[in-house]
Amino acid sequence: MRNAVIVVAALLVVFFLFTRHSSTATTGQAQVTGGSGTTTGHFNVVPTIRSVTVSPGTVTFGDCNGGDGDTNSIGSALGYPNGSCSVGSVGVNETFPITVTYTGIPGKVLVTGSNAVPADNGTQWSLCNPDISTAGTSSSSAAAPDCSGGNGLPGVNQYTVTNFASGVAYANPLSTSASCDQEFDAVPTGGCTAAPPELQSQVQHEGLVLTGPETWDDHSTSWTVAVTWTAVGPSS
Amino acid sequence: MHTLIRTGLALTVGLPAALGLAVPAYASIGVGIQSNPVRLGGVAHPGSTYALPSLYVINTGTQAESVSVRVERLSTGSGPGLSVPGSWIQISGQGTQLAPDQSALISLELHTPGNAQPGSYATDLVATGSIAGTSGDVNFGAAAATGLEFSVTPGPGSAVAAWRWWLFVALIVLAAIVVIVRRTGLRIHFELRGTHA
Repeated sequence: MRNAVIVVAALLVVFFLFTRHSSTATTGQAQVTGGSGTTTGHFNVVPTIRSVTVSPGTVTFGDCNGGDGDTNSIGSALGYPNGSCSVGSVGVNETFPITVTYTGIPGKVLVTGSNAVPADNGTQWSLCNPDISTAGTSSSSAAAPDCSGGNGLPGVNQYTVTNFASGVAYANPLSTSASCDQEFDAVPTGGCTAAPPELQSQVQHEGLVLTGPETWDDHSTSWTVAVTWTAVGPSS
Repeated sequence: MHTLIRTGLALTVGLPAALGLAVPAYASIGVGIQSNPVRLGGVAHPGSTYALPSLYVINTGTQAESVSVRVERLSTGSGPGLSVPGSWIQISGQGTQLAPDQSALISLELHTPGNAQPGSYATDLVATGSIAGTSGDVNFGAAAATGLEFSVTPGPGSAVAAWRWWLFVALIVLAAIVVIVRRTGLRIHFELRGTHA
């Protein structure tokens, strides 16, 4: 009987302590949440995409010169043999109408040319690799065959496109395979590294020079070429 | 004849410019792609098909574009690894039209042929944006590339080996049963029961 009383008393003490602790906790919680509020935090993260943007989307070559006799270039019309036209210019009043913008984590910018396609889809002009010593280019374009004309100039149904940029000493011949855009990184030796400051973009302004064939077979008077810039990762 | 060509060139190219019909000067074309490479979760086995993680692309230009994706190991390389034939990768949603700042997830599938060589594979996924109805004589393009990586192991070959192994074990068990039955003198009698008239 005595043991039973002790057990009951012990249970009552435990129950009392439990209920007291619970009420204290509840009271404390009520004091904390009585004046609740929310703070919203904003933050930025590094970009998870890489992109390249080219402006404008299309251009027309101009400032054509070269050729011979009755087939000299005139204005925006390419003459032969080996007339040339340009988008932008170097020299006193230099202009670089093409804006290439790289955005994202560091990487590289590649550039690709294409065959020149006549309006009638006839015989195209293929890109060739100009003679470095005579054309004043920065490096040979390994993917393109050598130009077969005199003095390293384009032969029959061949042509070259080189890009140039402010602050880069040499022009860069394009090929039909994506290769490093040596004009993109504006340092004296050129380069295609794109390393924009965090959350910013790297911009380069460029121009193009097209040198036409010695002569050509197709009779179309309107031709189209494509130049593509590609944003890639640093290991590419 | 060439004088005619020259005159035609001048008219075709120079006249629109003289008339102020040049293309819009400030429109841009742009493409973005996810920086992280597309990686297959797990390894691939020859002769199988796997769903790859979708590829994120976005139009960063100022006009609507058609975005296409191709498999191309860029000339400067994409790290160590075997090259991936383009026929192994099936790309859905080619030519997706994207408005400026619009993005899309491109579905990718990997089909490994039965004779795929085991090893690590690496290539690039190149997303290119193009604009319909361009009017200049130089059309600019924008593209962006990210890596594609996966490994191939001879899984199906191992499966065949496992099947042979289980057959071998089953034969041993069967032989053990026969030996035990014969040594213990047990006799198993099979009797056919038929209906007799």
